Amino acid sequence: MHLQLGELDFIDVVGTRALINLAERLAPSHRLVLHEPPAVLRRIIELAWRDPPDIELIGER
Amino acid sequence: MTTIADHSEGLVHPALFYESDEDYLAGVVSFLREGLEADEPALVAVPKPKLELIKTDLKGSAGNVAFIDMLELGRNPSRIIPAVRRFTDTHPGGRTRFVGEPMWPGRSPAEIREATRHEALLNLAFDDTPTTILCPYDAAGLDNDVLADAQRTHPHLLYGATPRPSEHYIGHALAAQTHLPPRPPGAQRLTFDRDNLSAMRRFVAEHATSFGLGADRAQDLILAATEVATNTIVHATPAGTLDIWHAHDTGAVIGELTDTGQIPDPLAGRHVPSPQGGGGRGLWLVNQLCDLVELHTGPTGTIIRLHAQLCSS
Repeated sequence: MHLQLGELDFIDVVGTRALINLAERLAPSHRLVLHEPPAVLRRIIELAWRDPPDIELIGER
Repeated sequence: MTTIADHSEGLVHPALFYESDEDYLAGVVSFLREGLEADEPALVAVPKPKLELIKTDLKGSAGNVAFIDMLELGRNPSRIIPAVRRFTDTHPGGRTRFVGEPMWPGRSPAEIREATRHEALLNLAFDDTPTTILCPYDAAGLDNDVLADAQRTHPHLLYGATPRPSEHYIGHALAAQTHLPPRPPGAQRLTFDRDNLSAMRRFVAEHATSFGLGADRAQDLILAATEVATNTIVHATPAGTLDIWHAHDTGAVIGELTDTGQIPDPLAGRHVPSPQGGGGRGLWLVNQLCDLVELHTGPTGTIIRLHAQLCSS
């Protein structure tokens, strides 16, 4: 599943959790691909999720 | 030391007061050797120069002990309890040992307040955990106030080899008794609610940058402030205040968020996030993002001070 996030200015833990829950529901048959996410998304996942599901981030900004 | 540990199934938490390297090694290394003889896995988190002293004195046994530099781990003391929890979780079934030295001469008053809260909260976090936590205190180099608080946060005190109960021990109560000094008169204020969080982020960005905080660290401070503000709006009150200033004595940009709610869990932000689901990640993230987080919460409200060092490594 592809999501275009180019118009998203910011995301917090609650928003990140929603994306992670979505990725978990898609797995293992499908995966989540996020286009142009704000850079803060990777920071949140790295610091607050020990074992995040497979999410592809393309064109972080 | 063994006399304290013999009949306890949960936490044993003595403070060791030392005045010299000889005192230090006599207390810490004998504690570690006892653990090795009893097959109790041990983790040591003390400032790096002290780590080296211990490793040298342990000689070949050092390979059986885990070491962490407390200057790194304990810069923000709220990260220590999760590190110990991960260690005890890795060794279920038997007792473990931890040497934790979160106080050292030269720490700022704000760091000392949070390191004291950490010491108090250990009593709550590990109450039912079979572990022995030895906390060395530099009795020659630390202020008397710090040493007096150590008697309140540790049920047993060691001066030399003989432990004695602390008459002043009050469990984890000291964690709720911290008093923050007033914010400086030049702090910049904004009132936030659910409709102006993006304006709040711009406000933090503008001031943090004007104080000289780099772009990445400013982004971390913005994210941390947003998480705290969201907690206010979702769990406490519809609005709160944010003040931001530059603390010239420590070189930190400080964002302070205030509301009239109370955080019920004293260990909020110190629980290791579960791999799946579960709430409560906001304060955890805040603790990972900031160089120091000061938290005061009670019936009259909550104050959280987020510190971002200007010259943070």
